Amino acid sequence: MKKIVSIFIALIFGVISFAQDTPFDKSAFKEDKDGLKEALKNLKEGDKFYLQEPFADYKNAMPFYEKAYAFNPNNADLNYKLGMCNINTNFRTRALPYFEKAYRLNPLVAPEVKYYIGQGYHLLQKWDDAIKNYNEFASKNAGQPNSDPELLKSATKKIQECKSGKLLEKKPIRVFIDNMGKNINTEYPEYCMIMNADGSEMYFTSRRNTSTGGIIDNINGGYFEDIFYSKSSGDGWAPATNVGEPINTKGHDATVALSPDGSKMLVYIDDKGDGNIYESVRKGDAWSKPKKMDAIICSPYHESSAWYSNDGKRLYFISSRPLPGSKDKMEKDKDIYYVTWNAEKQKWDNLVRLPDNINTPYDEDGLFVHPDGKTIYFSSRGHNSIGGYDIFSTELRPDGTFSDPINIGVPVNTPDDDVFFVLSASGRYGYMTSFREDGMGEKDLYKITFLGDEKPPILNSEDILLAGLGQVIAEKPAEPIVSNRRGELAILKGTIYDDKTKKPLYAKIELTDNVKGEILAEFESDPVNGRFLVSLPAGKNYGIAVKADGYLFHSENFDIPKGADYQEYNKDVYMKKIEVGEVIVLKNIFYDLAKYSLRPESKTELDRLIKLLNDNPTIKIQISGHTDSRGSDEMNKELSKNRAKEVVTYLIKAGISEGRLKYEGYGEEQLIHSDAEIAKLKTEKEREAAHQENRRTEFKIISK
Amino acid sequence: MLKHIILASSLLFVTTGIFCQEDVKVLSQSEVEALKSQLPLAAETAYNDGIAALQAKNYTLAVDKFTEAINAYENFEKAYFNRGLAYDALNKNENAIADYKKTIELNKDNAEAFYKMSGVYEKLGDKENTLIYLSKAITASPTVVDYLYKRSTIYFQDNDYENSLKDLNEIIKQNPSYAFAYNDRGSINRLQNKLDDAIADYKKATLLDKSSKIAFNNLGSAYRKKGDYDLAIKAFDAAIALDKQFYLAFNNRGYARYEKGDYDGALADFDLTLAIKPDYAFAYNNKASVLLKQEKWNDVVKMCDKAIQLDANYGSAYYNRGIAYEMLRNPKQSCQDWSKAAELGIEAANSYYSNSECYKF
Repeated sequence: MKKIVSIFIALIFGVISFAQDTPFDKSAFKEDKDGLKEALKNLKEGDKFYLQEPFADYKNAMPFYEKAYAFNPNNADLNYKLGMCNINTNFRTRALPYFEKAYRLNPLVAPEVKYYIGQGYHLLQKWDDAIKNYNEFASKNAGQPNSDPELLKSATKKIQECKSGKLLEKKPIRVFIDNMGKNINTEYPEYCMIMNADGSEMYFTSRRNTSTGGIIDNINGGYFEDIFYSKSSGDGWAPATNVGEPINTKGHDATVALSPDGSKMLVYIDDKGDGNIYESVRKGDAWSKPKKMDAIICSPYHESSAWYSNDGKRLYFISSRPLPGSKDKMEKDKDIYYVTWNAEKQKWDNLVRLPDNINTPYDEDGLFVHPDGKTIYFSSRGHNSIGGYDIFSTELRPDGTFSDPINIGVPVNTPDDDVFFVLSASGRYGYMTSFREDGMGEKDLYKITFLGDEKPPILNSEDILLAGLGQVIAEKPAEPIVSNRRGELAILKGTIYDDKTKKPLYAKIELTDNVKGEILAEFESDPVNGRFLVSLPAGKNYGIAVKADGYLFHSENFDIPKGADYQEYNKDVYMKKIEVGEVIVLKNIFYDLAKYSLRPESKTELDRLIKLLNDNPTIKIQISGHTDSRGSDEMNKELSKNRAKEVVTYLIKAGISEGRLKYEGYGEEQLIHSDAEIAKLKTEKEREAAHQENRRTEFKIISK
Repeated sequence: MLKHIILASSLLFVTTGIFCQEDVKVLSQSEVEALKSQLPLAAETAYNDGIAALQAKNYTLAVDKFTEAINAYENFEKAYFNRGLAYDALNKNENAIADYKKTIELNKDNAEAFYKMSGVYEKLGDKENTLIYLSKAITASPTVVDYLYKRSTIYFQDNDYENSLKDLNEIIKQNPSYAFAYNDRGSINRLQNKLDDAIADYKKATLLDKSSKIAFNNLGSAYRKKGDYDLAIKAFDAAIALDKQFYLAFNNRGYARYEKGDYDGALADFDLTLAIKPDYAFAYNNKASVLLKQEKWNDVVKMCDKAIQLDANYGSAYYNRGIAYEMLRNPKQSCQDWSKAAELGIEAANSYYSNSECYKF
């Protein structure tokens, strides 16, 4: 503490005293020879680390330099070196005063000093000062024989970053950014959080002292990476635990991605510098030993990040491989690629590099594919980054192209690296890795609460609209139009059970686009605990069929229109064996309003029923029609009967023997929700949903 | 002589419309004489006593006296009508309807009886019959704009703006200086978002009746809705100048000032509103809205608390308080408030609830 105070005082003193560059020699310190000797010793020790090959060790050089600085704060070279130590470690924002002082003491201290002063301002988001210093550096060094061309190029890019920063700062996004606290973060580095779609479980990488084996990596210092786990508990996270073997080993094990349902995890394994992606599969609470992904993904080059698409049919990943078809075999900057799952060959296939409106000449990294099925978040040093890696989003359009990336904005993005961003399905909560000086030490995980557009207040007014009556009438308040651009989807989750035994069941969940009549994806429930989770991006009418061998299928329908608010549906499914008396509601049979003709969207469900009847040729069924309680009893009865008859006609036309089919219309005689129950529901939406459940078509097995 | 004078004046009383704008219709001396010649003296005496009781608001006595008159002269149309009025005042609605019906039976062109009967049905909440008898009154006397006006208000209250508008247009055609009709037509235009038409109508209403604080206030609200905040404020100023206690205009001027971005002015107006009407929940909520803009989250909560205390089912106040709690980092409370606001019909609160993962709390 004393040291910090003395350095601070020395800095201040240096600023106000217009000191001259003071060398570490006897002429300047005649009266303190011992002090000088000690300072020179510290300088020498610091230089050992500072000048280390092939890479400078700024972190270890810094304490020695700080001691020397306490003795002589007015040496331009030492100020410069301390600036370099700070800007290249976790104390980047503290570098500026050292560089400025170094320049004041000796403008020729280093040709690139103005560049670093610019960077110091850049990191503090003082855009104009940064641009001014970068420009001064460029104008002084351009065309000079000893100038560093890379640094000149970098200055040009950084000027652009500052301009982007100025623009984005004018429209900051509304967020809360919070350290995830001691249940997750420690004094050691934590980073790369991944989570399932409903945000109930998360994994992250940490280099804490409880890592497997407790061994320190001699190459880059710090404990070896391990993967840790935490579960959502109310409004926070439970204390993180090490996921253990077989995922964690004594080497580096780092998180990459988690499938939306949390059943598959991608892990990064260093593979002696090659860097590859491995996959582990969960059954119940046990993870399988990670298996290296197909060679189409794991090239001899570096693959650092990946994520599954919401339907599991694509895998996006980052690779530094040469451009496809290129003769140049040199490793290049990191780009985003994807491969497609070939169900027939049971392997990943068809490598595609994302187009140049996404991939830049700079690095892309830190992929995350949102469960909305269209938005991909990634970090890039290119585009309109405001410095280092920034987080961007792009949308996969229906025609297969990707929209131009959008910088997700400040204050989430900073002039430093902003990476490993993940977002909850609702779009409400994001998580990222960041180093902040008020953190718990090293990199920490941070939670970002996206507040969305400003929520405008609602005011109320009243008037006497009719002059002849004194009656005061309230004006209907102007409500804001709410859009949830980051979470246009629904999540359906639950557990599948055997209806009789109530034991969890393995089943396949088929997702259909009812309008197009095409199967979108197939998911599975966990064979141990029967759990499942499916994301339903907005803009479709989904038919969901749960199928298990020896059971009747179970159907659900979810209509998620474009622009819909985020919804989570918890739905446990009880599968019924094919037995006499069992009743199944056919939730994907649709009719026109007050009519009985079948709508084309019903085809998939009807075909499923036909398959069931063909697979079980001895069973006989009764189709029953039911209406809600609105409308007259007679009309409802007639309508429901005609609707049931229409289904039977469809089945007969499809070749099902008439003798196996009966139909009946019950009108409003067998309501699932009575009028009294509906009246007690709070909102119109809930009441309408209850009426909707009353309107149904069922089938019942009447003989086997 | 005295009796005759009373009879004349009582007949005058009978034919007075309920709306103040129309001239009183007085029977001619010859009509009075003709009626007198048919009436037995007992009927005339009882009738005049009934009129006196009616004027004195002694409705029970009035009923008795008109009954006496009817007993003395069974086709006494005016006595039936006036007894109907007395029953009406006593809320003996069935009796009042019976008497009005008898009046009409005796004189099928008695527009006032139709009109009064529609009034009883209105009191009973029977919209269908209210409109039927009002329409009959209008058919019987198409030039009595008060009947048209009454029907236009019934249509308006039933959200049948098309028919209301037809009646108002007819009134304006018959009597272009009928200020109420312009005001009400302005209100229909405003509700249908035809703001320029609404403003034109309200302006006309204020020109025809410079003392109409209602029309000035409505004009201000139409300007506010259109986004002409300065003109809105001017109109509310005029309404307030006519009535310094007109709390609606203070509240509405505050709203216009808020929309204009004059938050201090808005707060001052809402405070003035509350000084006049301390139990006005809207003003507390509106004050909270300004404080939201000023990011004074704790004060927002206080104001919304007061609004909710005054009206436990005030959706906007729950909605606004939810926003403040969100900014105060109290998501649980904000979710509870948005849930309640959604239940009370605020759709946006429903969206906030869903999109903020409130179901987790």
